[in-house]
Amino acid sequence: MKRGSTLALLYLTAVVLGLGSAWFAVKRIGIEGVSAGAWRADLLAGSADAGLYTRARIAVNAVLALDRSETIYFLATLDDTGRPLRAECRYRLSGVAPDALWWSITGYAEDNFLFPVESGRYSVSAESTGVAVGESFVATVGPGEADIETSGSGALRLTLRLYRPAAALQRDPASLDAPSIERIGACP
Amino acid sequence: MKPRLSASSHLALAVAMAIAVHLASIYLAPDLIMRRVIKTVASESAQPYWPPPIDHTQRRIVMPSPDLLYAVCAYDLSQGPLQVELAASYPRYWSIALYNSRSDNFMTVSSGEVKENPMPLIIDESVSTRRGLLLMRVLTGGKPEWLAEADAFRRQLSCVQ
Repeated sequence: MKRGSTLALLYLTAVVLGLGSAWFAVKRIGIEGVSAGAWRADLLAGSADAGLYTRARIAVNAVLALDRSETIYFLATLDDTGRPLRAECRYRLSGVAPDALWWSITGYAEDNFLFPVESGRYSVSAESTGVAVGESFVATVGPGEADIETSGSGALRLTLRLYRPAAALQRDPASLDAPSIERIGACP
Repeated sequence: MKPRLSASSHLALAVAMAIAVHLASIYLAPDLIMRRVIKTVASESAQPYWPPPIDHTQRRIVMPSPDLLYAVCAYDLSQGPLQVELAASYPRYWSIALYNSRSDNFMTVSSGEVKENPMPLIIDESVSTRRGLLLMRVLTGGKPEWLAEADAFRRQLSCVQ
């Protein structure tokens, strides 16, 4: 009887370990791909060539992504100094408008959904900044009066979308002159 | 009487089981997630389904873009090929992307390319898995003044089987 219970516990532990390690692999291990500043892009998002883990990570974290010839998605979870982005902190984004038909930067909460803010300031874009390709822009991210408003506490994820990126960027996404992400002041 | 497995054999089996569960979870995750998404869209009374403009109350699909309006069609090719038509034009970015049940984006048509890829699109089992999803994106840039035009444009999409 005791042996039976021990074996049941052993196999139950094996199942839990299998599920837990799968969850860790898709939620906690960073995406593969290329880096540009604090930003990272998975070049196989939406592609039929994506491997087992990339496909699972995209399905869980960004299902229905477009192929890189149509859109490149850069994700930032750290600031320029390598500190994790936090919803309760304030940040300054600065850089030049990327060479794409259209671009946007959107803030997401830890669960990959938009922050529950009534202002509707979820993103900045080619339109909201009013700058042309190659021109400089500055935007703020954080709680309260910010271009991208956050709420609550926990992880902050920024997604830079480049729709119909220029051919040079499609070939070499790491060549992106990526926006810098600087923390402003101390976090509460 | 069956011989009992040794403790080390049970341990080896448990390790093999953990690896199998891990790999099966990773392999099946895209299918399960797409199945849920397709089922959700298919449950809408009309196809295409036109979701309301994106805000923080939209929590069906992760990482929605607040700068786009969407239109969605779920299809099942066992009912015949899918014919996609889009009559109108739009002065800003739009795209129609098709996804199979493994979440692969196997085809995209977007603004500026329509001359080379004329409508209608015909989707059959030579290019897609039996079940799949069409997702149309129309740029609004979050600007209220573009919203009505974008909404009228996406409503020109038809998905016929």
